[in-house]
Amino acid sequence: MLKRKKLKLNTSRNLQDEMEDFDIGAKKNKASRNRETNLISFMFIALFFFMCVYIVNFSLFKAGNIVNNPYNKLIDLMEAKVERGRILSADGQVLAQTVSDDNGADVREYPYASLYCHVVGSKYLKTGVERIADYSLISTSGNLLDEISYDLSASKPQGRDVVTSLRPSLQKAAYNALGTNKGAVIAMNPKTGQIYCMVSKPDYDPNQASVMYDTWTSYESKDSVLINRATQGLYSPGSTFKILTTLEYMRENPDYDSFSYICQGKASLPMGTTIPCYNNEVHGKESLLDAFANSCNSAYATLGAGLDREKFKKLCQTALFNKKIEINMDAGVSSFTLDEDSSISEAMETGIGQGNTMISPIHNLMLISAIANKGVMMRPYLVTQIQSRSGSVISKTSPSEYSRLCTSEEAEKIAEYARAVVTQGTGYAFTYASYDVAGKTGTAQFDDSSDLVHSWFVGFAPYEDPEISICVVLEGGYTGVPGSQQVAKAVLDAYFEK
Amino acid sequence: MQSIFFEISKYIFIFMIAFYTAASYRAAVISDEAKRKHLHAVQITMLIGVHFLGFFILWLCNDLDSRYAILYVSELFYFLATILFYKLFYPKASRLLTHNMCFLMAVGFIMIARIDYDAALKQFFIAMLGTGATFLIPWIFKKVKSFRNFGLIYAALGLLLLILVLFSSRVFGANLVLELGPVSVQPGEFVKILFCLFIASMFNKDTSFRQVAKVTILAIAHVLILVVSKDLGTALILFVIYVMMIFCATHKLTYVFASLGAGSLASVLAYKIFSHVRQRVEIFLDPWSRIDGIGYQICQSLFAVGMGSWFGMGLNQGMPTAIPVAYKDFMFSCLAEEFGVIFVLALILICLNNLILIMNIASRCRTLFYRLVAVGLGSSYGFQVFLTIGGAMKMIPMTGVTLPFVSYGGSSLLSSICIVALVNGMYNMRHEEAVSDVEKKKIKTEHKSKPAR
Repeated sequence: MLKRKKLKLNTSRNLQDEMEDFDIGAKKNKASRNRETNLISFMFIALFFFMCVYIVNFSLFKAGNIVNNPYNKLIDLMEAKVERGRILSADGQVLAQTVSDDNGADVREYPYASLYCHVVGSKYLKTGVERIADYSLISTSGNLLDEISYDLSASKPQGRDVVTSLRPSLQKAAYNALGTNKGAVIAMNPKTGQIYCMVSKPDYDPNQASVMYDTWTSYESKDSVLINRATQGLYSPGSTFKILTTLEYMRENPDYDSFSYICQGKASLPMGTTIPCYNNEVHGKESLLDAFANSCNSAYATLGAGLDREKFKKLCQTALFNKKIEINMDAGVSSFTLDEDSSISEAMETGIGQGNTMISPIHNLMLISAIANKGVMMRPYLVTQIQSRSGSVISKTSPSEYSRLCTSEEAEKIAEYARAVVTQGTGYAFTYASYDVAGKTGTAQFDDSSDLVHSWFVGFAPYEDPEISICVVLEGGYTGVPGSQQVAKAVLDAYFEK
Repeated sequence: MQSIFFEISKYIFIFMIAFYTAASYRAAVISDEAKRKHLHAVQITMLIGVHFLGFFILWLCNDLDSRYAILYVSELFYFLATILFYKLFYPKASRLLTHNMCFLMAVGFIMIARIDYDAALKQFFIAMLGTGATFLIPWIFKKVKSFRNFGLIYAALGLLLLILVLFSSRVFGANLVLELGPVSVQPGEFVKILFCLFIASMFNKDTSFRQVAKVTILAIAHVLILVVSKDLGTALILFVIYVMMIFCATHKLTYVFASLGAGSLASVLAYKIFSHVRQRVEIFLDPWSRIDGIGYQICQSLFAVGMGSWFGMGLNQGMPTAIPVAYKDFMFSCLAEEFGVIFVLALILICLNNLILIMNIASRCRTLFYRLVAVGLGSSYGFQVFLTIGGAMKMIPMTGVTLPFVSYGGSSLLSSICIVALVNGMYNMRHEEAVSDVEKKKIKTEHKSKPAR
């Protein structure tokens, strides 16, 4: 302190001449000038503070999702240091786990082999839940003290367990009902978006992935076993698309209750094409409800050609056509191409779900689920919970709304029509079911040169208070089952048996 | 055994930087001389500790390569010499600022050496050279009073440099670099300092509307050339310097709002006219769909920060080279990956501490010229830190500026050292600047009456 004072005395001598040159303002000015520098300082302090908050927020809430990306090479680096967590079904069955082989090396084991192959996926292929929960599976408990003690003990820490919403009984029912056919089954809770089962055939054994990969992807193997048809497959929607055609017709014609059409087994329009009803059946006089229930192509081709194409396109865009569906799975992009330049034939075909329209089964499921859920489309999800090996919950996924397809009145009306499909129309498989189903069948031609058709069913049950919605597609050439609705019935039976 | 050591070292690093940061904030407000000395000692200890531990790990991981040991010892001597010489020759210079500079450089040296030994060697030489060359700046700044008279010359020099860069990049395709024989210089880094001196000298003369208009036109010329030569980072920094200095010189918020308005308008125009500006914004809005192209870098940067998590993957345990040109524009992400988020948060606080120290001397300067220079340099430093960290975190679009003292890059390091030398020069003059003991006492009593103490 003394030294400093001395210094000050020394310097105060030449202060006078400094003053003349240096000093600009009088004392009162000093305060005001300080105010500016202080203000600038505070601005920067606020900016830096905001930056810190942003980084903390990023690490706390965003990092987990972001790092879970196949482009992130650091995951592989971490993989070696952690024992990968297990993947569990909703009731706690182990669907995937890491065990040591005879040589002490870590091996990923899938106890149910091909039963869950697409949905649980394979660590080797980086597919399914193994991919979407990759980072959680190799993250440790998340407890600070645990992390330090693992670090210190130098033993391999255990990754987190991932709990899915999958129900083994439904998965098995769907798997068996599909039999040897190619196709897909997905069921979910329309009110939450929790996926109950997801099967795609043909399947593969994920335990063999590393050995068989080249065979599966070879040119000779035309089955594309690795593709998850439930999410990535794109099919012509066939008559299931009439849900959207109906919705658009209702919007353009508020008096749709007075709709009347006399079906003569086929419809042809000037400048258009001729579209026959399925099996050339003649439906006679129909209301809109009858036409929907009978899945009458003649009525819908005529009605479809009369729709306002711009509005129809807009509706389909709201219904997530022509865009990537933002769900945590690899979903194919559904397409809807009708516009002002399209021919009348294309408009007729589009009205009955043929033409250039393509849809993925998960997308079709989301649409029917929105009808079941008063017009609100929920975001489908598989991972319900992340927990430590000891079972303490680390995070939970809560249901989230994806978008709104239509008003609840519109949804109720279409649900009523879908119920009629079962009670009086094409959904005959459910006539004697112990639960009330509403749904829509579909048969989609996919190749002009063959008579083979894809068989669709989308629906939900119970009609009054939907608990489960389902989507089934059987690829053309299926055998052993009459159609998709019988596959759906097997799954719904398993659900309502419980 | 070694792996346990590596794991523990993560926590030691965090402990040391936390201790260092706490000491620098405490020392900035404390008035008790003895306690402050103690805090300075703590800082130097932590600096040596972090630096030693970092290089020890690198030495272990590189099969006991003696090159690392030699580099370590030389750097240690360099740090100690810098601190000692400043203390001896400029007793009134801010010791905190010197310590912070050395600490940030130490962290940078470790990370650069971890990625590329030769680069670290080069960086170290430039640091030595720069510190040596700028050592006289505080003295000259004090002795020579005519620095404030060359306003237009600074501007002319700055513009000349920028035009040269623009020309060379247009003709030779070089990237914001001037090739002078074997060395390549990034003039943008030095133009920031010239720009501060230019505006400070101009406003030191008078702050009439005419003068403001003159300054504005020349400032626009600077920024325009920078935008055309795709150096958006420096363009933004100059803009912020301009706004802050005009506010400080004229006290008029109207100028501030007018320039902010004009700035926003200009950015919209730049977005419309220049495709490279649009591209930056596109990457910022959605890097994920361009991850295998132009969005690759920022995605890898976010992976690095995300994977680093709170405690980091450990020095030498991550993969910072996954980010292209990591040790320049994305130094922050590399550090977050290996040292963890807590460590880099402390690092941000150290940068903020530097900024506060610069603004502190600005508010204590009674001469407008010095005050404006300090405000300009401080804004430049603070905003550059924000740009590089914000860019790496995808908070704002990437601008490709470096983290001062830490990032690899000779020009960046040199200009940062130069800034500290200039600020220390002002600290060195502060007692001449302080008018009377009465006022000094007033400041002191204000200090004491703060309830926190």
